[in-house]
Amino acid sequence: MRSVLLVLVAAVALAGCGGSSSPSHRTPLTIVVNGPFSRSPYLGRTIENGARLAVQEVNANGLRVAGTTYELRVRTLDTGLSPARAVANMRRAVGQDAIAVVDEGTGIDASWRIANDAGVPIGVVFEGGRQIVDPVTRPNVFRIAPTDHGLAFRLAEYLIPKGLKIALMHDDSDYGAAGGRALATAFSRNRSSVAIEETLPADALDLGPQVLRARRAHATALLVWGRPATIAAVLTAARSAGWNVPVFTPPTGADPFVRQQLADHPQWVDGLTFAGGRLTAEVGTGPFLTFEQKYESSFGVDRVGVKTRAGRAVVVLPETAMYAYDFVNLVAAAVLKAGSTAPPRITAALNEVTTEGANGDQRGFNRNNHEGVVDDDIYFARFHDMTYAPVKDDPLSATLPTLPQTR
Amino acid sequence: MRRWTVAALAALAVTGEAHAADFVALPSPLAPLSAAPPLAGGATASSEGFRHRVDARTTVDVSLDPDGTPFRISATQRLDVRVKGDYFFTIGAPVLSVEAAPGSASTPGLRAASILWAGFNPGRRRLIARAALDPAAASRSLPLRGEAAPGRITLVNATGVSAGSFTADAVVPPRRQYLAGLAHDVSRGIPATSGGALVTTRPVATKVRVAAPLLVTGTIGRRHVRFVLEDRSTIHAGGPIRLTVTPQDPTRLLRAPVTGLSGRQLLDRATRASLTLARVRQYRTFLGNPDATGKSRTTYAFRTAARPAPPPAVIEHHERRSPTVTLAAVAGVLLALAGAAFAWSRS
Amino acid sequence: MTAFADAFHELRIGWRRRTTYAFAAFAIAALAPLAFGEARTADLAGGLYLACAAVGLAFAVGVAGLPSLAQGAFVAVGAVVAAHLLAAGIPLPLAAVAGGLGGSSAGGLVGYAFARLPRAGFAAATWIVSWLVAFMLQSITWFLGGSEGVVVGGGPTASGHYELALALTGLAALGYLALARSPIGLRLAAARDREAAAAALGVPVLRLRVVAVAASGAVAGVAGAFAVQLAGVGDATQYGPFLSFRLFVVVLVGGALAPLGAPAGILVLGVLSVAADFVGRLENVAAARAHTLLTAIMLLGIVSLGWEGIVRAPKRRRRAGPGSGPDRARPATLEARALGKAFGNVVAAQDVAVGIAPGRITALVGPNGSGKTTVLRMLAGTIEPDEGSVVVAHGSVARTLQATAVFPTLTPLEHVLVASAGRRSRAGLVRSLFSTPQARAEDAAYVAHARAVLDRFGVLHDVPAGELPVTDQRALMIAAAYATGASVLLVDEPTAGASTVEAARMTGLLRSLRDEGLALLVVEHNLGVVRRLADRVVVLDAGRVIADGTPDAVAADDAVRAAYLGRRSF
Repeated sequence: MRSVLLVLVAAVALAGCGGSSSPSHRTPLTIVVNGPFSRSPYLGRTIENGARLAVQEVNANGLRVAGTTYELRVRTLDTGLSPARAVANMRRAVGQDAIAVVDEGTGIDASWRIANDAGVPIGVVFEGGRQIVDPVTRPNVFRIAPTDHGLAFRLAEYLIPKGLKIALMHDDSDYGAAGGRALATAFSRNRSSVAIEETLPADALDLGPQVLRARRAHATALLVWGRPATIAAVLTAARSAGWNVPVFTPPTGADPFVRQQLADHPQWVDGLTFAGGRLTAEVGTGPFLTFEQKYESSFGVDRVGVKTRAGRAVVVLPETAMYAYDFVNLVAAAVLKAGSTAPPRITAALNEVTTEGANGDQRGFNRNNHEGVVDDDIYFARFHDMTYAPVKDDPLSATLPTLPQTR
Repeated sequence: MRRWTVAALAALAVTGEAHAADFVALPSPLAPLSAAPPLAGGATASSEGFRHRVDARTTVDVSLDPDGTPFRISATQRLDVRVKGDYFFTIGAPVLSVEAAPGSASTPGLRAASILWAGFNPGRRRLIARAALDPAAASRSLPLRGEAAPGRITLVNATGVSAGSFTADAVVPPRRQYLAGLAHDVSRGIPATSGGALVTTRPVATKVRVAAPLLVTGTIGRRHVRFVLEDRSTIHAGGPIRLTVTPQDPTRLLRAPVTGLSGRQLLDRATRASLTLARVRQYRTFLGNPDATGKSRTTYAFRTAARPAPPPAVIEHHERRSPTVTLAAVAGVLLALAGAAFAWSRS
Repeated sequence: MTAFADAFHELRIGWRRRTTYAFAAFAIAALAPLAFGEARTADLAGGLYLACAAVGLAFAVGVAGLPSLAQGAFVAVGAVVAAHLLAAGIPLPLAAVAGGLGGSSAGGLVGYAFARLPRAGFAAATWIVSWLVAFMLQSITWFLGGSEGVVVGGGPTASGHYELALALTGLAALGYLALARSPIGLRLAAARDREAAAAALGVPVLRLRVVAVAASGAVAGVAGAFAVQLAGVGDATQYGPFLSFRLFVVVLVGGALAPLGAPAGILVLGVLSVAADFVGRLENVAAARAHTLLTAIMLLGIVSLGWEGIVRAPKRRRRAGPGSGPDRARPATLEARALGKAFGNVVAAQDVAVGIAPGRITALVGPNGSGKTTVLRMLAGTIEPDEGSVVVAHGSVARTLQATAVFPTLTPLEHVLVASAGRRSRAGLVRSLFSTPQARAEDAAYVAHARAVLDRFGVLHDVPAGELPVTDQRALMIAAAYATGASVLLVDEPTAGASTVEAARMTGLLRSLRDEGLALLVVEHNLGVVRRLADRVVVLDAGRVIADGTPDAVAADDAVRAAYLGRRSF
């Protein structure tokens, strides 16, 4: 009996060998995500998820170059919002033969050179400071994210014709200070529109005195550039004092934290208008909704933590994930264009390819411009009932549809 | 189409002839007769739900050696874009560098062999790019060539091309009407459309040589010139060239009297006029227009200039250090070490 | 050439097996870049720069006994200075020197401000300094550019940095070794063991501690300067208080009394990093947090278990040699007139006059609380009298403490060397650091002198002083006071608790010192010893001199009898 069993086992084993069902061998290619996973977990995770989603799709379609099929894989490294760790991570990424790095932006000024020496392209998907990207001096650095300069310029372009007297307020965080400088440049030719300029303490809970100062300066609008906590504090200070002044912000106004802080006074959020990168194109909401659906089925829904008046939960739209997704797709397109997986050739090819972005818009770089979100891509949206919709008094925004933000 | 159909039927009725007539399509006045111009395959616009209306105006500056050889070519293209919405234009060109010219609403992008425009048009937008082109590639598509000799220069219309055509006996009235229609469209600045002809004999394929008439104005040395260059012309003058060349509609051909011409002769004239218009259209679109039906104008400016001296070769001293310096450095280090050792031994 | 030959000869004599191991370890470590990629080599280089800073800290903690928790702040100072200079195009060696100077200045300030505090106070104060520096770096963006940092380009490759860091760590360890053996190190060790006793032997405790902290700061500053160039960016988040904490733990783990203890501690820290990564992955916690947790647990373990470190302190062998030791003390006289001292409402001394002549023993006696110790301290200069004056002609004064106070971790030989260090002329910081021929020759001569003194006093040379019998310890205290070269010795109760034999030994020693021409003042309760020993007796009662004369005359004084002798007699 035992011998029969052994023969059967051997037969089964032999039958399992060979055949055409064995998976084809794929050569791995590494894409590193360099993000603040420990200090800003939500941001890091969002970037990682966007990259992974794109990698899944590229692998599903197959990335074939010169007769070899490649498989992209994602490795994450934590910067902890530390420039020194970002530099060390870049060394690691180069050491791991990464073909591209998706980076949040911390420490790029120091780390880009390490990647450049190896010809590895970096895609910045969050940090908007001006000095980060320069196609001439930093040929391997690309960005898909709204720039501080672009946001400030568009805010000025949008607000100045309204004849408002604007209080320019920025907090003293690095983000706020950079935004303050961008606003000063954007409004430099129209100083008559500026009622007052103020610097706000970044961690202050009560900004009543500063808001009062703006009110006494006869400001008819507040433009607040700062972290979400600062924006929430300004709204609280203004609204609790009965001052229904319009408030305008950069993309941090849409951060869930603002709505969470004001959950008890949802009416204070109404009217808050922020500038951000467009999430849709004129082809409609289809591409972004498709992307959102794929994102949520892979990684779940990100909830803001507040509800509308009708009791529906408000969700976060995966904007930063979209940028990481688009960059990985561009890298894949660049690999095909270059016909090579050598990072320097991928970097050169990134200047020559265009893909359809997750929002349906054409996304690409060129030799003169490494910004994937140009000034024209900045739109304005206004809150109402904890969700936002594109404004109608801006030519670009008026063409954009409203995305559903409740579940 | 309707004009000539009615005319054809009327002609049949008038002549009372019972000959069978075949319809043949005339060469299109829009279809290019060669690969370039426009350079590098022309322009494309990304597919969207609507079409932008774009008018293009291009100035091509050609710097010439004293012997007439182009050594530097730059093109400034102004695109006036109408219709609100996103745009994504790719203008083909052997471009070396590109920048935004004053008055441009945004900055052009640069890719291999193309200029890129992308953005959102709020209703009307002006995009102006100043591009440096590869002289070797671009000069092949210039309309004018000069052959310099002592005391004279021969200007050659370089737009000539041999194009396929046909000849046959054709019904007369539709031909007259067609030519009149072409002349009307041209005078109104409307893009001419192609047409057809009723022929009564079997069409025989032919080749015709067509060229875009060039209005040449400017100076050669001290001599002022202004004339339409159809083929070649020798100017007895010498000195620096400052000429402006503009492709012209073949008005002479279109406005020539048609009385007494046979159907065959009228057909020949019509085909030649269509082909010439196509050729003129090519040279008016030196850089592509993303709107295939939009207006395009190009002016060519030829100037004699001094070719810039090549930059001096960089002498890489740092790669070959002098042995003396190295020895001196080593000696210095050894001396310092010896001095330190001596100081240590005495302390 | 003779100097080099002598040095080489000494090196050969002093070569031990652990020296071989150490060199072998460094040689093998130097090959590491061949085995690792750029990223890992850079990490290792960063670890070595930390090790270098830790060696500097080990000197302050181990030798000087100062639990400094500000070493990370000194690293930060060096990094800030160097980052700005490097960003301005200054070459790395100059920037490193500047960083070292910055760290040294910061260390000197901290040492000057807090070295007087007890150990716990010093630790707390330096911990606060670490926090202050971290706050400043993060709040004032000029220092290190805020969240983006100060970008520093150029410089050696990761492999170059690694070799540089290895060399610096080795040099730091050699510097530690040289200074620890030197008179500076010995005096610091004495102050570490018993500050009062060291001060009594003329050790400038505060000054030396400032030097120790400044030296550790200098090493930290240099390490910080190189490390910031390696990192490519001056990043404020890298210099928080946790850096100081880590360095402190590294020193304790590796051993504060060994030059290579700190590098060994860094190795343990590296293992801890791997463990932290594992724990972090297991608990879905950031590795940085797990690292902090594990480091804190390790520190608790070290402190509670009394861990002395992986690497034990090397044995200290000292070579005696020819050469002139210290000169003999010149005869001197001490005259104290109308001394007075009050502590609040309590008058400890009033109108006290004492004269101590060379070649004579003066006994100072009196009942408990009569002010003997106060007078002794005024005579020694330890406290300032409220009234009167103390004049010492042609010499100096040394004092032994009332309690048996030897330096338990030092050998008797080292005791005497500590005492005689003040007389040396070739024992400065630079000479000690570089072990110059003259410094070594002087050291050998003083070692020979010290051995001779110990032989004279009948004390063993090379056992830890804490293990000596009490009488030997007392004899050692007197020997040390003698070795200071003081012309006037103030000896406090030399026969306290001694047997008759031991008392006889002490009195014999004191007589020999008198016969040598020293002026001695002996405070004694043993009246028999006073009778046999003293040439003159001064009796104190309630802070006043009630008798001053020969032992016989004093013994016959009614006032003395009434106040002190009473039922007792000489």
